Amino acid sequence: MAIPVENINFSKEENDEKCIHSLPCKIHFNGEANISDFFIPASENENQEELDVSFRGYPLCGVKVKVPDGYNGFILQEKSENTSKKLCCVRTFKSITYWNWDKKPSKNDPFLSALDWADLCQIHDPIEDETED
Amino acid sequence: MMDEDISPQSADELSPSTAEDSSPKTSEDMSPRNAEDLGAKCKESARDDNFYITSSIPDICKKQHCILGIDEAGRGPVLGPMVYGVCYCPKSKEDDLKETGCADSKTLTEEKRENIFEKICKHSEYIGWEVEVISPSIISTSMYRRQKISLNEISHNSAIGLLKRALDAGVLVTEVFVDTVGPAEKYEAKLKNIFPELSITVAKKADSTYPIVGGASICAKVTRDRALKTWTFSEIETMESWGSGYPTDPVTKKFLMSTMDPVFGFPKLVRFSWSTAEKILDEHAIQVDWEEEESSKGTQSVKTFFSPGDKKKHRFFKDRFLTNTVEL
Repeated sequence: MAIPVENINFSKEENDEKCIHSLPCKIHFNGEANISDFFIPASENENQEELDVSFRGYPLCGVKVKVPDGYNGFILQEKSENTSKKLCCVRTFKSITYWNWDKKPSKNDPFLSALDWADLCQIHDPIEDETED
Repeated sequence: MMDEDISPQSADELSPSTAEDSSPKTSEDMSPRNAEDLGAKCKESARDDNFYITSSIPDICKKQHCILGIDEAGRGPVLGPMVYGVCYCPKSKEDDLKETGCADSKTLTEEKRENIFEKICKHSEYIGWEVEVISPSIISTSMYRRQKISLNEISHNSAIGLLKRALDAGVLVTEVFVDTVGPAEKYEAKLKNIFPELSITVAKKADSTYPIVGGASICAKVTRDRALKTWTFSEIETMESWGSGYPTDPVTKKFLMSTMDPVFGFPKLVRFSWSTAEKILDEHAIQVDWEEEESSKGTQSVKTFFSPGDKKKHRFFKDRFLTNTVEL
């Protein structure tokens, strides 16, 4: 069953993109957090490619990852109206900071290598699934 | 290493209260002259990185055989930096050193310690010292690495680093005295292996036995106290007291509870890897699961290894955890 997504607005992209982070742990919480005081990434080199931060005392290594050209990142929030599920786009983004625990992010990380698909899938037009029974 | 060297030249603020100091100062000699100067240096340094503060090196220490003491302050507390210190002087001046009152910093009041520290600085013609401030944040992240670095290892590395720096700077060190809380024999063997040309004595309570180690303990302790007095943190709004920093201190416990953020835990002043801190987060903060703990969920049945599984899916997609999704 398809779920409607509302409120997609590409112009809603905000400047402070750096505050979208993917952490290598599960935080059992949804809501606002005091990121600006507690989560301040630092970079040793000038081009800000490799980042360091600590979360709950754990050392994290991060990289800033651009969303592939032609794609957009969306943050969707679930909204239930009556019995039907609905998704609402609260924000779009063009980059995300990906963090590993004490390990430099690389193509060995599924998250980063998954982005290969964006390039690879352009080798031909979409085809029908033939194995369907 | 991530050490940041606070060179003597970087001190542009010297407290005017020491202006009466009679000895002529060259432009290079901008080293701290009292506890306040130490505090000022700590204040201007990064909170989440280690840094050094050093005296100028007395010329006589480059010409005469020197004794050097190593000691630490702030090993046990759940918050604040651990400070390692070295203090050195020519062996011929050992008796003069005793007159400054160098002794185990724990037996002295704070005021007494700061007085002795000022005396050490006044005798810059024959006493030299250096401290490394090991940030609580570095302590946490070291102990929470994939390959944990123990506090003992952090301590040893700091001591070895300070000794190397003194030797590299040209101090003619021949005898070294080290205070330790861990097993002395193993530590002594480790140091002798790195510095075979030096006479090294590692002993428990060396700070009360050898005045030069007492000197090192005073430099370290005064630095730690001043760092705690001058440090401010973006995460801590009110300047409420954090007490002694020892886990048993009720003021420290109260500070930990009241500054705790449910998501991020503690300000960077706190050593997350201490059991006191861990326990508070376990009981009061939002649960956070790290990959190791997550992957240990139950054992897979042997059958799953032989079942056909996702035959259709190419490794390219499996490696990347990519799946088709129609529903959410």
